[in-house]
Amino acid sequence: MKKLLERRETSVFLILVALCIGLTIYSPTFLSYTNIKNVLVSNTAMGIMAAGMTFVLITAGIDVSVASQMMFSATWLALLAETPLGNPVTIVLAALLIGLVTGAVNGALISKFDIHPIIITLGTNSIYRGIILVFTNGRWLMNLPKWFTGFSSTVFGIPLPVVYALLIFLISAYILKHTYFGRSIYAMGGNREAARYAGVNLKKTVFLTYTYTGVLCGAAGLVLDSILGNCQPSGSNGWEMNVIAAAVIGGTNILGGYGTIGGTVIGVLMMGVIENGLVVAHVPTYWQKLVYGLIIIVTVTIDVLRKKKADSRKQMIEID
Amino acid sequence: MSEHVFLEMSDVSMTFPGVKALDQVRLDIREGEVHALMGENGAGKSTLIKIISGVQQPDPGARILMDGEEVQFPNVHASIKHGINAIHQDLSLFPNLTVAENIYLGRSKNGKVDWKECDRIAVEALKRLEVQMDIHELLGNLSVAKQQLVAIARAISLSSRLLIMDEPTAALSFSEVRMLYEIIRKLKKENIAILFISHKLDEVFEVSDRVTVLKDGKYVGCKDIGELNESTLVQMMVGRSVTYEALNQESYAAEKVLEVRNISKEGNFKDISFTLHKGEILAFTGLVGAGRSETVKALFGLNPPDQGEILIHGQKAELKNVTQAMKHKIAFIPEDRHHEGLILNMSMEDNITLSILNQMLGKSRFISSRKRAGISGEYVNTLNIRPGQIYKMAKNFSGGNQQKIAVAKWLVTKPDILIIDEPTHGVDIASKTEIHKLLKSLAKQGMAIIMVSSEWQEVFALSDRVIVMRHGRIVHEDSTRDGDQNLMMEKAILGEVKA
Repeated sequence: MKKLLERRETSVFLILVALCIGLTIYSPTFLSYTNIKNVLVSNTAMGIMAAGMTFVLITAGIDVSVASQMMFSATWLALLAETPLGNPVTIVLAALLIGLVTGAVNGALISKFDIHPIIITLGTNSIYRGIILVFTNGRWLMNLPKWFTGFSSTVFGIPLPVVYALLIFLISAYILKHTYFGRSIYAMGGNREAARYAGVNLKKTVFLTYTYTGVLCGAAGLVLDSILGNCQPSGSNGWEMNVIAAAVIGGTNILGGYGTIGGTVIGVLMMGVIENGLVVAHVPTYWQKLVYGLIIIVTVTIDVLRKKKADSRKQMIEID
Repeated sequence: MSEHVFLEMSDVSMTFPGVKALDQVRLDIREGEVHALMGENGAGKSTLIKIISGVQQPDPGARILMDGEEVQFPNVHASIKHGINAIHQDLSLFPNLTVAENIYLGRSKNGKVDWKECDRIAVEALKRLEVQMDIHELLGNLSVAKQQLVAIARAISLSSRLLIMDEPTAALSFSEVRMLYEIIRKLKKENIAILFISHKLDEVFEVSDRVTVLKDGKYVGCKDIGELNESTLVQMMVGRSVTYEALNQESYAAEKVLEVRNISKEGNFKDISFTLHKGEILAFTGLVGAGRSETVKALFGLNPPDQGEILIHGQKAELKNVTQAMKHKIAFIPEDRHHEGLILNMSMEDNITLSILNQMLGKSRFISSRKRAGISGEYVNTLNIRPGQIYKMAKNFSGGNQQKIAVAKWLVTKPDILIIDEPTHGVDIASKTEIHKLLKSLAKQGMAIIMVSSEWQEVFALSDRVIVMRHGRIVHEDSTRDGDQNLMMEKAILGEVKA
């Protein structure tokens, strides 16, 4: 119990609950079914990518190409849907396969040449986006077929995208907690050299991490298309920053070693609720960015100060 | 302990770019023995144990026999399979994981982690050590000593035949060291052999059965502990192979440049007092971690003391930061040249003139390239830096020449007091001699020099007086001309001289 209270996720969760209560008091429509559903559905694609980002950040890496990977998948899926080959089965397979490829390219370049991931993913961020813009001339892909938007329908009052996201969170949490690969990610982020001494294959771990993130981005592309019913190849610009922010607010250490899927989900909800809350409270949307920025800096600063205090017991010489 | 030798290594060499870390070394381990691996800093001990534990690969030609059969340790898993595991010096642990997982990590069945098994292994390993610990605590929240115990627990859970420890007691307090000795004796009874690196002679005599000594990457010998006493062991370690030209002449002036009175800093050094004269080279020596670097850093404002006073030219001086130290004409050349001394991606000229850029202004009030080139060229000549290309990047010079550039960078400030930490660390013999001559000629010109060195021959060849430190205190001070070298070494290592 004490440990649960000490965790960063707990304090962010409590802030989130307080925020929700405050918003409900201010405007009861916040707690309405339609509004809650709206908040959850509109953040599913972001949440799915943030799960992948959590893996990457724990290894002490970073992936700034997630939004481009998602749009890369979303665009090809929208194009595929217009062809005779387009049906629900091929679309799902294609989404995962496209993500697998974009992620594997990132992972291969980073592990093979041992270049800092921010360089590689800055490059591929531009390349993936460039490819779809060249191919579509920036044209919006409108009117996706009915079976495609059916992916985001609501069954027994539960929106399907939320179900997909939950499933992905569960799988991701399981991988992190219960597989050798997952523990290698933490080991590598905690002490890279020690991980090598313990027999962890660093190159393989890096490759798998970025590949898995790619697969999730591919899935996020499918979810996004189905929710919007169209695809704008130049859209979702800058989402990678919100994805990173969500993970960091949820307690993931940007320098590696710490982070949980649960925390990241709380981080995503936090950002979603703030966005929605500002609308509910009739605050001009221009305030949104400002508030995001403050939240990121305040939550992370508190965490860093706390850690510094703990580390201050430095190594000293024993004087006899 | 049986006489049965189960691990035999011979012709083990290891070449790093430009350095032969190990040269035809051999080592054999008997079942259930405690074997000490000794040698000075840079003798190749850590490299050897990295090879046994599969972290590094030796040059081709090395022979490793396990129970008479030739084997290889291409990776950590291979060593673990043969029942061998090591605790490396820089604790190879994970601060972000729990105690249990730190002990368990690296084992898995079909890629899955069995958390029950993890807890079971951790509990069992800690039980063997008779240590009480919350296995679900994060390792980073533990003291260094407790972390060391976790490292041992991890290693014994992986080693059925040989446990290797690199300076296991370096971070432990007296009572914890006692506990470690108990653990070693218990493992011995379980017929597990222990190979450990140590600089502490008393420890080696207390627990080990045999000792192998390395020097400069070469095998010196292996002896039963009964055949040795403390001085014969020191003799084996230090040897007499390298001799430098003796440059110490005790020629310094009576003028006191620096007087340090009873400075102390918690957890760093205590009651340090000494005097430095004009034209003198004063050496600070002792074991790594004795507080030498911490003390000299205090003189350069990098590690201000809590108590005591420092007088420069007879006047009380405040040395709270580097700017103040530089105003008092003090220069400091750190040991770690790559990180603290030089900016490797800048040219030699940029490095040399960095600390005096404000004097490099031309008539236009902009930095004058002609002035900078002039100064740099001057020091290339006086210090004989080769090649003398002032626009070449610092990283492209050899170790010896990089050291000279680091020296030049501070000489341009025309200091009265020069502090140099390990002046010839990682430098070849020829450059060493050159650096020695340079320091001596600077002293002759009146500069007062403080040198930190772990190399006894260097201390005796170069300095006029020597201060020996141990556990943050000065334990001995003597002139190098009539001082007894063995006596000082014993003081540094043991703290007192046994009759």
